[in-house]
Amino acid sequence: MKRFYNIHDILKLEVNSGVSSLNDLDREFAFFKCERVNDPDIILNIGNFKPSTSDCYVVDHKYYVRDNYIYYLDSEGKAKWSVEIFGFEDGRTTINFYSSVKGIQRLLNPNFLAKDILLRTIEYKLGRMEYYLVHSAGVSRNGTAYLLAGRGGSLKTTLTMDLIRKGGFHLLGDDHVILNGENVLSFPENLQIFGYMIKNLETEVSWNFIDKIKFAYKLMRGCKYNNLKINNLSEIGAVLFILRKNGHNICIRELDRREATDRLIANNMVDDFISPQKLDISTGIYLKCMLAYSYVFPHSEVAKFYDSVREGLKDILRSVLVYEVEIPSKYSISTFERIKSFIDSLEKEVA
Amino acid sequence: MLREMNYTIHNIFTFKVIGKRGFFGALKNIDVEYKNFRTNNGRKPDLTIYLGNFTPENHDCYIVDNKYYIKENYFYCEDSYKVARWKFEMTGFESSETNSLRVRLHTNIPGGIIIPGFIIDHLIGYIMNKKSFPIIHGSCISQNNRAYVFAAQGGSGKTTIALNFVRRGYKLLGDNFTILHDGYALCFLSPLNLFYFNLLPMVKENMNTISKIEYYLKYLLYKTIGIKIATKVNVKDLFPNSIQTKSKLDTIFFLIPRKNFEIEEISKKELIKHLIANQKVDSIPFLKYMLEYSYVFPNSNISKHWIQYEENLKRAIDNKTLIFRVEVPRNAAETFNKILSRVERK
Repeated sequence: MKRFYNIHDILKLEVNSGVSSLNDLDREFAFFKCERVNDPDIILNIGNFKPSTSDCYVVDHKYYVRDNYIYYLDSEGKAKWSVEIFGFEDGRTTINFYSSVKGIQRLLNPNFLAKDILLRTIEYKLGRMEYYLVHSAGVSRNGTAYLLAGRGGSLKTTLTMDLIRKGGFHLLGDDHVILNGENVLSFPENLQIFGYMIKNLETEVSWNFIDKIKFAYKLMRGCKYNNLKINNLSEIGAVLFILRKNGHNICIRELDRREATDRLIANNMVDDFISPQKLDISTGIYLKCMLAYSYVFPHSEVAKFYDSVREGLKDILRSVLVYEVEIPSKYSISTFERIKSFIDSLEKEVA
Repeated sequence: MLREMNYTIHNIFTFKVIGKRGFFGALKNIDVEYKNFRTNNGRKPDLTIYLGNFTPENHDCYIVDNKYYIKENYFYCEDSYKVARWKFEMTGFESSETNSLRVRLHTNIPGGIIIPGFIIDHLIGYIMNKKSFPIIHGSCISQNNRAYVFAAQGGSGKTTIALNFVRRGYKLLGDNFTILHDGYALCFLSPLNLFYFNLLPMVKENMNTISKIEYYLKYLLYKTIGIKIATKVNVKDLFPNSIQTKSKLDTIFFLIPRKNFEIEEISKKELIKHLIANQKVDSIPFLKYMLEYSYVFPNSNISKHWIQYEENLKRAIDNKTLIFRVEVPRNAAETFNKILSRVERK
């Protein structure tokens, strides 16, 4: 079965799968789904495959590398995977991916590793075109975008939910957004979960058993959540780095731009290690591939990738306000109010 | 009953490990790994490692990914890899005084086995780099005070090549790591990891009975239930007369396994890029910790580690050093003969 996605006419994807159901992967990128694309930039084939590793360099017994190609097989915890990428550095990218996951995730998210690798490939391909996919939530109001960057568990999703519900903001993305020049492009993922949370839950962590059952029921009925207001293009206003601390105070300070760039890079790189499904595994599949490829080809575009992203982000952040926001580890309405009033004051400044 | 062990690496870097005695304990595994650096002088270590359970001092920290606790000069997390689990706390790594680094570690039994390679090697690498003695992943041999380095990832035959040279009368400086400084290679003697597939006859001849029994028991384990565990043998016991501490750097071979043997000269700049990527591929769990810390403190020393590593390598390898990139086939004997002829040509 073939599925097509189009990311703002910048990047076109085709996903093919054999027997396995792909609903979980489809849900993640539902926002970009389209009828058909011609000439896709990324083709992802899911299912068992035979790698063509002839004439490859072998790194650490498990990475097979040659020009513009990598094959890699590994396992960790409850998951096992193999991935083969043609066009790893340049040109059209074709990914063959096979994974098997044990336990409950097999039913709920059988393709979460495929999602990880697809997301990283999108990040790489976009980055090469000077569109930077950054790990950050984003909201916008009156055409100005405010990014809430943070590592996992920094409560940025909860803040985003409240800003949309109570602050009159539109959504750009709850986990990633795309930066290009002065523009911020939306990158909403898994809208069904986000839509459900924003309607029914107070915070991102307040899922209880009944909510899970309710959500699963809604999924089966094919509930769409079209009520979300999504803004596809805004001008960048400010970046707030959200850091959660086990203290009690909210503390906001301005951040050096170079520091902010380094932080965005570290945030993106380390994110590859973190499995959102809390499978107790940290895979880092794509980053490991990049490292192994750079090991063989130190002058390749892959090896230079994060350096060029750093230069690009530095340019973008040059005219942007950047702050660090320390929030208490326990979320309360006062945290939201403080941040909202801060963004309100920024809005005046930007205007 | 606590036991205290002291180790020093060429008196450049000293560390102390305090933990419980025991056959399966992490202390035993650490001692096997760093036995050759043992010293009796335990005064003013750069790094102190406490093994055993502890309560982390992680109040007032940034919480990242619900897992990492970070504040200035402090890092704590609980982590796992396959069946191995560990609690890891590190403080004092940003201070300018060198003797304030303190690590507390608590592991389960499998955790104790992998902890040297997953964490302690990289801690040593981090501090040695701070003192401008970069460590690279590669074996090293020497003759007439000229050192030849074989830098590579696992599976490229660097140990086999080095041991074959030792059989021909060359001296050994390291089979897995080598320290570079000021145009010299310094030894870093770690134990050989023996599996059923890499046991050379010359190693077998020199092994003592206990190691042999251990090796065959593990081989049996592999044959029956398929678990692969390395037998660790100290190279100093195997070849007591073939060890060298320091030699002038002559040639660096950078090895990558491929189909056919091919050799080409490359620039120092290119080599350094290979070496950095090599080091990064190796240090995955520790690299993750470094990135998490750099995320919170982008101006810290940890975040500058790789830039400093590059600078140090530039200084450590002098411009007269010959540098080759070698594609090596599976056939180790062929590789060895070709490299040997290259080394002995001069």
